[in-house]
Amino acid sequence: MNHAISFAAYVLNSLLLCLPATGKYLEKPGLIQRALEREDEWRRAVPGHANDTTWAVAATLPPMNSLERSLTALRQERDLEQWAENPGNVFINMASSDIETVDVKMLDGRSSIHPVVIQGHPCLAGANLPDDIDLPARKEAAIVMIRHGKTEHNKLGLFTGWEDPQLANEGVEEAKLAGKMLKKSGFEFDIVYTSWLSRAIATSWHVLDGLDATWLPIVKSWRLNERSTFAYSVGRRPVLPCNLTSFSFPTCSVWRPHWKVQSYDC
Amino acid sequence: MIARQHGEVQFKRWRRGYKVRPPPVSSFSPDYPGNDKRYQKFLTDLRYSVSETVIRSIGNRRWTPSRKYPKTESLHCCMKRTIPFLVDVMLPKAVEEKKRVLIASSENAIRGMLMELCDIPEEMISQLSIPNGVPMIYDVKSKCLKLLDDGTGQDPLEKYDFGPAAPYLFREREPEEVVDELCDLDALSEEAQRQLSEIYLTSTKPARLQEARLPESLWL
Repeated sequence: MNHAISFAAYVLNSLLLCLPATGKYLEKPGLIQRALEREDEWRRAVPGHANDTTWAVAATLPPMNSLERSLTALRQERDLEQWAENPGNVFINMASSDIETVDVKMLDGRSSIHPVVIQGHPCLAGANLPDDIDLPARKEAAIVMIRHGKTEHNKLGLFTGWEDPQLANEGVEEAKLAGKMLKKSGFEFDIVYTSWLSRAIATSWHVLDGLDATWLPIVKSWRLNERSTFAYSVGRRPVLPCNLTSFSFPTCSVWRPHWKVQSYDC
Repeated sequence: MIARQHGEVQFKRWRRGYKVRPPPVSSFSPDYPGNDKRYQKFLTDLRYSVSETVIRSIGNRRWTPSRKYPKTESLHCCMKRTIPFLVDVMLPKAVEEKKRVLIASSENAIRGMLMELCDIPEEMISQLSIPNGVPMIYDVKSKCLKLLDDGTGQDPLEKYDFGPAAPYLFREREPEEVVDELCDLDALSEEAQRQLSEIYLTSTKPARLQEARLPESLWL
């Protein structure tokens, strides 16, 4: 019996699969072709017709993640290779020494290893460089501090203590930009410190993503957390219905001139 | 909302005061770190609290040692946990081991660290604000902050708001500069010299030099 059923199913399946694709269900031949031609015509005839439609769609897309970006870069590289293989195209070697000389001369005529452009203020360091040039890596010790990117709380001007909101999209972009800027100015890091709050951790991730150094060790410490002010967070009920906060807590002890990592009591 | 409950003035004091602590959170609030898994499990460098342990052990009906997590902090309290970590862990990494260190943190923690690093006086710290997502490079040699030029040609100091206390961050401070300022007696007026000698006589430790700043009105 079972064999009969499975055989029937097999026959039915093969019949269905082998139906000839006559093109009956597709649209009329040539319809898309004509629509595309008309689109081309409009693009040529009406100024600004193409810009509105295509770019508006591209702008609403979410930003690419690093994998997508690298895949795009790979695709572009392959396109370029194909293009270069075509004997009709003239290949110009861009990786010649022209750019390297530009690198040094861009910086006020200085040719030091770590050129610093000072603008307006004695304490500003930076690199005013074109997009495709990064400064050489800095080897000397450095401490770079960065506040986490914007959260939705920050945007509204709320104070966030040890509450743990995520970064807003804007904050993610800020952190990535910071990473890229650091990379452009030749910063590299050996170790990353961050707090136990996810906004700071995510910021360090995105900065490292911009720096192409996601492999770096990240040390997290609660000591780098934001000042804890739970009284500002509102609208949450206690875990238990009773409120037993009758025990007294000692006040801050005297300021110590010499700091030591020690039991924190405040 | 909080400002409406307690008044604008009180709210401002809590947010901006140096040693002012807002009201503490209840131990039973979900916001309290003792009710948060990450602090319960991994926070190990705090002392145990007797009262918390007793209450939690009774509540859970088994032995539950609980640490004394902060219920509320002033900026001063925040610095008491941040700065030891900065001075004993992060600074030696950078200065002695010549490592390049990135610190991602929050506004008040960074303010506390900058107060220590850039010698910002207590009364000015409330007027310092830290913009989101802007890398600030601390120059170990000149002991001041530097910002990155993003290539737009805009002055970063105008672009980002550091608050009225910004000049403290970006002044260059060589280690001997402080001594110079105080020791250049000829350049000071007689009144300033008299005050200075008083300060020197009263202070016994050389470490107090930095506190012995002249009032601004007497600067030349």
